[in-house]
Amino acid sequence: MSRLDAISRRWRSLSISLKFGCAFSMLLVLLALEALVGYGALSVVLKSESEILTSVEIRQRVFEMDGELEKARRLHRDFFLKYPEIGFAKAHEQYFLPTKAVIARVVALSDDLRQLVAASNVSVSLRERNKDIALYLSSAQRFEEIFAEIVDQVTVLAAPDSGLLAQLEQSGESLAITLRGTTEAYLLFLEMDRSAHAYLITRQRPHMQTALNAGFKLEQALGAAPGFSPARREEARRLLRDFLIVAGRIPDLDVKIRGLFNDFALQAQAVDPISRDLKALAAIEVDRARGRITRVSRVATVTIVITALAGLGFALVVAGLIHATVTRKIVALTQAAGQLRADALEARPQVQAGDEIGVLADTFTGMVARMQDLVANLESKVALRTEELAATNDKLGQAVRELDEKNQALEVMTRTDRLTGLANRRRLEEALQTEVLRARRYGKPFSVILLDIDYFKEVNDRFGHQAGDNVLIAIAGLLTRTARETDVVGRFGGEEFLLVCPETELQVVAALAERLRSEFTATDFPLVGQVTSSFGVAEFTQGDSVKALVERADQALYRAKNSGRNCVEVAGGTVC
Amino acid sequence: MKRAALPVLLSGFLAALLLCACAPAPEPCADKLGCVDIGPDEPLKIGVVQALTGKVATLGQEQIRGLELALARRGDKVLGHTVQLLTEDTGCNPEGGANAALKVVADPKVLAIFGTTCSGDAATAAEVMSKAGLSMISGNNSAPFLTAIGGKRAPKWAAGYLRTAPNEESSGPAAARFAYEILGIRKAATINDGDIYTRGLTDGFRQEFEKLGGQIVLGATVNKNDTNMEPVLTTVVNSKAELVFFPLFQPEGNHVLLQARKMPALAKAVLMSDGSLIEDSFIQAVQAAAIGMYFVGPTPPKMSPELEKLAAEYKARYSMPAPTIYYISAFDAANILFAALEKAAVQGQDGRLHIGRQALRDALYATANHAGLSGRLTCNEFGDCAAQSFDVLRLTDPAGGVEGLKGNVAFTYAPGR
Repeated sequence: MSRLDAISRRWRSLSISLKFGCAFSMLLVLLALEALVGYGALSVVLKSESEILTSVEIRQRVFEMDGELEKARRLHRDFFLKYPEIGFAKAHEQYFLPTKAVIARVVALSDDLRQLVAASNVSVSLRERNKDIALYLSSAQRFEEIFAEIVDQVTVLAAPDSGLLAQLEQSGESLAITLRGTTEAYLLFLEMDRSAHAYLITRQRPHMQTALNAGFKLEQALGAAPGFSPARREEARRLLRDFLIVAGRIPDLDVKIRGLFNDFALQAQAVDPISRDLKALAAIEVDRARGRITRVSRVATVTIVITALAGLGFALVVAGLIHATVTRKIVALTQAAGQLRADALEARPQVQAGDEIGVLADTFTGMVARMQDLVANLESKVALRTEELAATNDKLGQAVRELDEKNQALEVMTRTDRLTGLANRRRLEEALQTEVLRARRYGKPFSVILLDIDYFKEVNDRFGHQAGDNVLIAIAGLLTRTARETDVVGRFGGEEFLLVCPETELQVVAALAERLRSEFTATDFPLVGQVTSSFGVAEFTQGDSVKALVERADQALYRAKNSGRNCVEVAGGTVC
Repeated sequence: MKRAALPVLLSGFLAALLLCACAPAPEPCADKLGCVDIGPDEPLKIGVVQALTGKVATLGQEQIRGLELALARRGDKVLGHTVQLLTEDTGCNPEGGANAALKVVADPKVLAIFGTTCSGDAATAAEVMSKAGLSMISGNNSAPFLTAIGGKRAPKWAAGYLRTAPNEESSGPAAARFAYEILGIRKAATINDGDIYTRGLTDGFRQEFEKLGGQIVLGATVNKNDTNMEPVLTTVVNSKAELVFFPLFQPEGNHVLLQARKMPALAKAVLMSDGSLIEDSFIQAVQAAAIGMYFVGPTPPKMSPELEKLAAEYKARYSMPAPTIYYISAFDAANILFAALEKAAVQGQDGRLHIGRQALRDALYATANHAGLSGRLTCNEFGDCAAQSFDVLRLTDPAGGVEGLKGNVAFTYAPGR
């Protein structure tokens, strides 16, 4: 257990990359193992398949070789069966020469077979049979040699005209003819001939020896036989010598031929089991290779299944380990982050590891602790800051209000003449522009009154500027009080004043101007006394601009000035 | 991990390369007949081609026993290797010899052949063996045809063939000299069985006998397995031969003797055979019929403590005394072969033995003054290793068996001594 714990600790302390490396290495090893098993099994199967093919080829070659050798034997047998019937020359052509050709094929086949076995990967037992194939090869070659020799020997023995048997027959016949008419000699001849034939039937040498002994007696009898001429006696002796010489050779030749036939039998004894064993071994080889394929396939299948299952199991273990050591920790971290997002500042990831996630979890925990600490301080600071902000806000409101007031004052100041409190020239121009636009769009009439205090320079010069200012202020008051609410009254400049009268036709304005003139004339200005003013009145006509309208009013004012002042001059007519 | 595995694999690969580079390369074979390479755990293979069936099976078995005794003296090992004997039966006939030899030489690991028993099968076996580049040594073949006749290569001489049995080129002459000079025979008949061994003997007899002034009045042949010898013996009678030299094996030799004894016309004829009938089984088979019969055979080695020791080993191993003395020449032949193998073998750096076939032949032919139990053995260019010395023995008491016969030496012929 302690070892397991140590391994577990060691595992937990590994970095994620190392854990993944280990896990995938093991998977790779399993894959490699499976591939190796598959490759090995395939190699064995291919090798076995090659062995099967080789074994089948070997068996095929053995069959061919055996068949050819059997054919050679049949030809060989037929040669001896047929030559008495068809003659040596024809038998030689029909059987001997084909036999040589067949044996040459056997030799070539056995040589090929030997090389095939030597170069193949067949079993040791089959490879060790290569010496048997070599024996087969040399036996086949010997078969050819012995067959040639036996044909030679049989030719010597049994060639129809020149063979020893033919010679024996001819000598015997000639001798019989020569000895005909004699008694003892002929009887001895018959005994000799009978023994010789007995030999030819039994091939027992004592019969031939008996024939030779009879021949010996016949030779003696010829010397004593009556009625023989010297020539006939000599002829009989010559024929007898020929007969005995041939008869003496035949058994030796027979022994030799029998030995050669025995050679064939021994060859057959030697090679027949070889071909039989080779066929059997090749068949065993095929079975063995098939069996090996079956076994290897079974083992490979089991191994592959086991390794696959092991791989699957291992993959599950790896997945479990990764889940336990990586995914679960990431999930824990995610949950902790979620809780944190939901303002659960007490959330802590339950992660204990020495890997990167462990480090991350520690960092996260530290970060959350730090946040918790920060949040706790932040509330008090916010309250403080809120109070400070409220105070500041109050101050700011106050300042804003003050600023608004000042702005309003400034606005008034910027649009109001400082001395008279009337609209200044800027304000008047804005009002004129507004009314011009309105008149153009809606076709409404509007008119202006431009007035200038008569001889105001003299007032300043005579009574001082303050007195002049007081006059201006008084006139401003008079204008304000007299003008309608909708009219805009302003100081146009110096001692000039302008009234903008919206939606007012020229006659109405001229009447207003007249009333104003009357009011001025009737007013007693302190210190100064009576002060009059000249008025120019003009009405907006389509196509007018502000400038054109004011110029027309100014022209009317100019005419009023020229007309003696203190009168109202209407653009296009006179009220004075 | 990969980084650790790579150097390991590389080191393994380099180590394998280094091992391959350091491993000794197979040594080339410069022998003109080729080499036999024998692994440290492989046995030395020696073909044993002997007559193991038929009437001469005893002789074949004696040859094998001589070989086994020689091996036993070496702890059944040669050059530190066990010896595997690939034994084939020749049936004591030429075709059997050829086919047995073919079987043996088919195995390329066979170093040499120990054989044969009969000279007839030796001729064909030696021809096959020689063509295959092997060497062959026999402790039993004695036919002159196999090695040399008159100081020249014999017709059946084959390169690589050697023997420790004496060339019986002098066996026939020994019999002829004894017949002509000691017995005063002037007319003689010979009977062989057509085999080169018996023909070699009768030819040697004829040549020497005629050279001495005698006359061969009959040169007959019987077949192996013939039982009726009366016709050939009748021929002998007709030839008026005073002596019949019939170096035949059993049972043909038995039939000749027994049937000759039944023919009054041959009562006075001297009957002489050779070493092939110097066997207890023959004496027991013919008993008194063999009294007075002569045998020409190789002079047996003189008894010595070493020979007695070998005889004791024979008896201990096979629970019987040796029926003939031919196991001794087999023992010598085996020792000469083992010595030649030791001389020709080259121990390779890889622990394998390399034995050149020509080197083995050369080592065999170079055998000189080998202290064999059959005598000092020096092999000549024809393959004869034993000196020629032949005794003519006369059987006087069948009860004495072979030992009694060997003790009754009537004549000894040892040319060159």
